[in-house]
Amino acid sequence: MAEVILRGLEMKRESKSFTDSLYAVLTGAGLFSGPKYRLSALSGMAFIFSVHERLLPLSVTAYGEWGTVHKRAADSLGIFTVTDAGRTRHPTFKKYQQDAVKWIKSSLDRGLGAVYWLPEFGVIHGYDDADRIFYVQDGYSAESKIVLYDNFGINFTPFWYAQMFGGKVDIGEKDMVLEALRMALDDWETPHPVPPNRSIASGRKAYSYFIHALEQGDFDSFGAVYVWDAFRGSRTEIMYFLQEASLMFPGLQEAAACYEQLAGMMEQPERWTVSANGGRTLSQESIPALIGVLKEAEKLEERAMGVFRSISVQYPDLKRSTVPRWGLHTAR
Amino acid sequence: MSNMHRIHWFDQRIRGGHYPSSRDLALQFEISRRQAQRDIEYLAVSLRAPLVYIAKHRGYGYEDKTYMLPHLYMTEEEKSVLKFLARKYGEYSTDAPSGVQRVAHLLGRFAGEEEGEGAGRLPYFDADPRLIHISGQLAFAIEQRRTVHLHYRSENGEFREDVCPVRLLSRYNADYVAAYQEHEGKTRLYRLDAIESLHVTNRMFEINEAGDVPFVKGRPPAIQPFTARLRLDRELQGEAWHGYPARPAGDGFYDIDFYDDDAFLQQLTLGGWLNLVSPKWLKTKLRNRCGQILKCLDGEE
Repeated sequence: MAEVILRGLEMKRESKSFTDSLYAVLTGAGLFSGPKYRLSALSGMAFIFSVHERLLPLSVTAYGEWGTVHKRAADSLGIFTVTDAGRTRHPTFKKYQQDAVKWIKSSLDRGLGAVYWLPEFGVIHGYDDADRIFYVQDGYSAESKIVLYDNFGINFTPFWYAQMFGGKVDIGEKDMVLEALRMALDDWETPHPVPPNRSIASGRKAYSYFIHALEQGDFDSFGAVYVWDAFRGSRTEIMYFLQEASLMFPGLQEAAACYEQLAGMMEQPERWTVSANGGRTLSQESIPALIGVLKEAEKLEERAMGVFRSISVQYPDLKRSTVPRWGLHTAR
Repeated sequence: MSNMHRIHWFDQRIRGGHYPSSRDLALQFEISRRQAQRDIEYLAVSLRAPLVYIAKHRGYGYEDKTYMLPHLYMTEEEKSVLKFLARKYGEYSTDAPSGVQRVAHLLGRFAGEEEGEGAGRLPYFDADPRLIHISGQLAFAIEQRRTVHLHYRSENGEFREDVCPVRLLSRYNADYVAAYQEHEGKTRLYRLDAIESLHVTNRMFEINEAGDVPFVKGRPPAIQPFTARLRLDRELQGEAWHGYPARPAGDGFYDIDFYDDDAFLQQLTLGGWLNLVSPKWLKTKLRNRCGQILKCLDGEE
């Protein structure tokens, strides 16, 4: 009976749960070295900003079709990836479940952890055939969670998701940074990440949803703090990334300055929230100031996107400009 | 319907010195003798009444006359809140089925509902008074097969229509009513929190008009429990070990099912077992916890 536990793979919740998971898997396997903010930005994850109209906690993970967004994240880093996901109520679920158990075990055998929807995202870092279990890290607890093979994928949401990684090809640093800027522009211009659902907005539109919910006072108090924390965290990541990237693209200094100003406005986390019922909620007194910060942040990000655009057009973008002769969708 | 009104009557008869029997109870409430006997058992076992059968009078009395029935008064409002929560817990279907099922069943019994179904770790639900009110009106309409006039707000705008409510259900922490749209000829879900107002009309609808509710099909698979093999310090009487389902596995060993590893580990620290054979991960966790406790005891942490 085989047993594998990957040592040296440690997930910590500091960013979006997918970014934290990706960082843990890739650094654990030696496929990425560097700080988390760099991975977050180069994978496009840092730029993602999605908001539910009532600021539900799901805002932070409802940023699009995961298969597409997370594959894009791995592609931009030059890393091979395979994802699988579905609805647990589908009659074929058990078959997919058994298959996923197999390929995740084979990934672990090769020393690579797998990303798994708990929810939120966590990392499968081991298995034990004798007990028929996976060991999963959620990033909060030092102790692993235990998931039976038979319960793989079953959680309180109606869907399951798993992703594994493989080999790596080298992509030039400059190309990776350019692609990150372009992914940022794509997200900024996409009003709704999960169409036809219009209750969740992303990019520029997400600001109006956030501001509207705060103005109306009709929002989920836990979700509001969670969205705000994720927003603050990701904008700080972008700031650090742009400070680095402006050495490669001097034009980015202006954008970096925008994010420095933005991060500066959001300092002192205790200013925005108060403790209540064992958790945190947005302080009522700070909401008008928060709305002001968001309005200003939108303007700063709009200016930064202008900078990204001006840099992007200076270089060919074959991925987005090439229309194959058979159209955008290949026959397969 | 709750059995509490029958138990109250039975209690009053005993206090009046009438020595009531299961036959009297069955006759009084037009229920079967078996049902009457179950009520008496409930009074004796669950409500811990010191009932004693007195053969001379062919009826029951109290051994200890100071016994009082538990305070059972409940307002209609409290009852409707409990009904709402019982349904929510009953429809919650995820981890740890037995816990939520027990809560749903318990709430259902308090609220006078005979049945409760469901699964899951004990979740938290908001008891919004407006939702409870709407839910109550819809439950009435479903029971009476009455058409409801809805004023509904959705992402496509506001509209008003007459629908035939079929069933209340909860999905992903939101409440819905499945209702048959007369003009469209199909069934759809309406979110309760998007209902601006509703009015239960006097118009009745046929049962087959609403047909089957297709979306209740295809439930996610039930979550499987972990199983630990333990040798216990004594033979089990019954099929549970401290509330965990247990099956004998020979030689004093038992296979015990559990869903929440933290709760089960806590139970293990209380003793009552001699050997933990499997699973390995549970042994490791228990060893780590004991190690932490020892460190604290030795002042190392």
